[in-house]
Amino acid sequence: MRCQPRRPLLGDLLHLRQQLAADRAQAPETLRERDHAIGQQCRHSDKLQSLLCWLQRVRGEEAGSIYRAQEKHWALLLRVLALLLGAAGMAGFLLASERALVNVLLFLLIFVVAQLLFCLLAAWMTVSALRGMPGPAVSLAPARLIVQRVLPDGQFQREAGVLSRLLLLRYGQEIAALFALGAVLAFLVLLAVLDFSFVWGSTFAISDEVVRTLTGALSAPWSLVFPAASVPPEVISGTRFHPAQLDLGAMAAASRRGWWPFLFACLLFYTLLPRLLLWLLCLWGYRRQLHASLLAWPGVSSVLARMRAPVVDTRAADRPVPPVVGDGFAAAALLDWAGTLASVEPRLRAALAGHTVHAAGLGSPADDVAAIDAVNALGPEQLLVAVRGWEPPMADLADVLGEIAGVRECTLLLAALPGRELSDTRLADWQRFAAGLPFTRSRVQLLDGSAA
Amino acid sequence: MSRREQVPSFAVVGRPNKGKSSVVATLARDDSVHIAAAAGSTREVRRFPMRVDGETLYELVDTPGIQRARQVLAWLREHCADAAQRPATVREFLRQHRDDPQYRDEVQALGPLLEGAGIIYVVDGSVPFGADYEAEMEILRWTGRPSLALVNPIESHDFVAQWEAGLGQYFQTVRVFDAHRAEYRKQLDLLTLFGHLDPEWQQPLQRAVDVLQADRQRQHAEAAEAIAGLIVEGITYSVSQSLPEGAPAEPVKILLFQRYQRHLIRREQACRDQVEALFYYRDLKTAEAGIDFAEEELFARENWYLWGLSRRQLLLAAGAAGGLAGGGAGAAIDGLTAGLSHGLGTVLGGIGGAVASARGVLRHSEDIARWKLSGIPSGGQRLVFGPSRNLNFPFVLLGRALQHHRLVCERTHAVRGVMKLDTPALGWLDDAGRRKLALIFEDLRRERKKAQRRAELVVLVAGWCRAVDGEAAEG
Repeated sequence: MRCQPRRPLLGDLLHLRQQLAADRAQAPETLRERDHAIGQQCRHSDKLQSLLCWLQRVRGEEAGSIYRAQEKHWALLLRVLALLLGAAGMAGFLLASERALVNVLLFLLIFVVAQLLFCLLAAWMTVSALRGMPGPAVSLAPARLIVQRVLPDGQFQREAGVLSRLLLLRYGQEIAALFALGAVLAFLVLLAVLDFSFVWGSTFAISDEVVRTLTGALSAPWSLVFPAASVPPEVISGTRFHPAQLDLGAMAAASRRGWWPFLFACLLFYTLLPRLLLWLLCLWGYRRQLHASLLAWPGVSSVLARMRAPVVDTRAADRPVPPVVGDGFAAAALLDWAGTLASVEPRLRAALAGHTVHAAGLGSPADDVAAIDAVNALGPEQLLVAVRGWEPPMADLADVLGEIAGVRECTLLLAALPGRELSDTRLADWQRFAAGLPFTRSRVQLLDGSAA
Repeated sequence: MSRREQVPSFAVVGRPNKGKSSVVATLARDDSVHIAAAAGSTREVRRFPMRVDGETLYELVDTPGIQRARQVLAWLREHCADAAQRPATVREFLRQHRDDPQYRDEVQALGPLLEGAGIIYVVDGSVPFGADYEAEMEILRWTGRPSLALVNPIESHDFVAQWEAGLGQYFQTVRVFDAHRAEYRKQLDLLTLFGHLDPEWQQPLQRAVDVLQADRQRQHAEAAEAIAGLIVEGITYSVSQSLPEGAPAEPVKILLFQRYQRHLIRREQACRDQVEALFYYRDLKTAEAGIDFAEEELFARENWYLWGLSRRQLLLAAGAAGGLAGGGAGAAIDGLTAGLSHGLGTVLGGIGGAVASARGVLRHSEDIARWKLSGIPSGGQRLVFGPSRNLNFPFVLLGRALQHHRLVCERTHAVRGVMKLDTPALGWLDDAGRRKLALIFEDLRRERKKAQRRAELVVLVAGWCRAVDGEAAEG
């Protein structure tokens, strides 16, 4: 069954993390075989799709979908709330004004300037998060409700710090954009059904010129395309207001209403648009980060490598048979074996000159038989066997010694290489060998006379 | 089975205790092979197929030592009329002595050769060549199989030249191969050489070598991932415990510190286990001596300058990294002032960063991590130990992990001795490498660009892991 390409979900990362943690307890051989078998079935050229396919095969379910349902549920609730709160905020501001008079400067301060500053702050946090820098924690952000429900594991939130922040920012911007949309819609609806007067005034001595410059600067981005959404100078002069001014008759009604296209455009351009752009940026950053987090998660590159790499095994399929050391020496042995005396120092050779020397172990088996016959003919009580101590004892020698009859005591004389000592290991080999010889007494001695 | 379909097979033959099993263990990367100091420990033929996705590319056969060569040769000579009949005579010998306990080892050793295996004849280069070896070499020649002789210098190279001269008369190719110390590349070279014994074997053996090389790269990459994971955890790990109102903190501090230590010691051990398993060591711990790593050494601070950096190296590395970070921040200020600060921000930021980092080295050199006590809304306090602020600690973890990795890589599967971690671990690291690491560790500690820094660390560690095999380190 081939896995269909799909977009990664946050739940995939959660499942991936769980799976990789569980895999740590598995033997690498098991993982190699499992992942390679999956890799043979999931032949995607895209690494991410290969990983998602692997995850689906390993978890045996549509990874991540359960988290998505939870995420959707909470996100929907917050979206509706944001829309309502935005509308309620604007309605509250407009309806709370005395005599249906709306101070434009206050309106701009709350719904444009403050919103723009929040946008700038959010933009800075977004850029920091996109650069992988730790951002300040905003514990009161409503989007935390979603993040905490979707990512209940605090450890995971720390491990996937950037992704958690981008998730928070993504929902934060979406909620803020919906809040702004709610405010814009409420502005339009209330304006259509109620008669509001837009005026301006301040305890500061602000001249008409300043307000003209301010509105001109604010409307500059759209003034050429939508000149109707700019405030004419006569409207500005005609809507100057002071709280002590009881009679509004001097202000033309047209002038009082002349502000709304400008305010509407300000709401759209400085409140709603930046939030939408930020939301899109966060959405793009979040998806990019989710993609990157999945591929960069500790252990993923090993999974992908195992999926691609063939399963190599050079070892024996069976477990080793416990060795039986020392058996096979059921016979007995003798003399100058395999030319040992030729390899020792002359003084040692001279020390053995008093004995009758028989050579064996070097020529043909017939030569060995001749040596055996010669020793048997002599019938000595003690037999000396000169052997090369650096070589291991061989069954060949054991065979020959096994054919020696009538000998009570056998001494294996171990020759060492000139200038070297015999290793303990090799000595032990010979001792074991001697113990297996069928003489009444068998011992091992170094050829230089020292006891072994 | 046709000749083309037959899997290349190599029987490792020779006298007892000449290192046949060691050669097999090394080439088969199998530490379950019984290698005994005592002679004659191999009594049964054991096969080691090299499988890639279930397909066998070649097979190594470990055989018991030939013990009665002269008798066998005498029998062969007696039953052979001419040179053309020699392989058939050997076959006849096996047929007749199949159940003869006297020639059990010889039958076992020669059997695979007559089934088509190539001969890998192994001798010990630390003992002299002897004429008595000629009988077994002659028998091997009688089998008519392609052959190669390996001189395995078990204790010394004293008689290697002598062996090369002697073996050269019987074998077309003679190589010195130290089964206990052979580098990975030499192991692959030997396998390539096996392929040259028969033109039909060249392609599968070359493929096997390519697969093994790729497998080695994967092993290094996975080991680097594991080591980087350990270091990141070492830097970021912390333990905490809530304290009821008015409860004394000291006993809890002791418990928390023990928990912190235990976790990281276990984590380090788990990383080592993973690296060993990646390099196919399954019996390393149960081998005769095992690994001589004392776990407690991780927190023995008097040894830290052995595994990590010396105080001077640490000051220089941290100062440079801090200077770089501070300089970067200062440069940003210079940028904001449109150059009106005349680079003063960069200079001051660099100096400030370097001083702060150097101060951090001195201040936290004796502490592994810091204690934090904070109030919790439900009442009482929370005592936290970690994450580590000690700048040397990640270097210590890295040094120990790389040292362990190097020992595992350089060790062959024939070695059964103790693995000791007793040389300065990061002595080879140059200033640039130290600075780079210090910067990465600092960012990981502060959770800045964590994923990026972790990825950089993996790349660096992977380069150093590969360098063990003599490949150039990247990054």
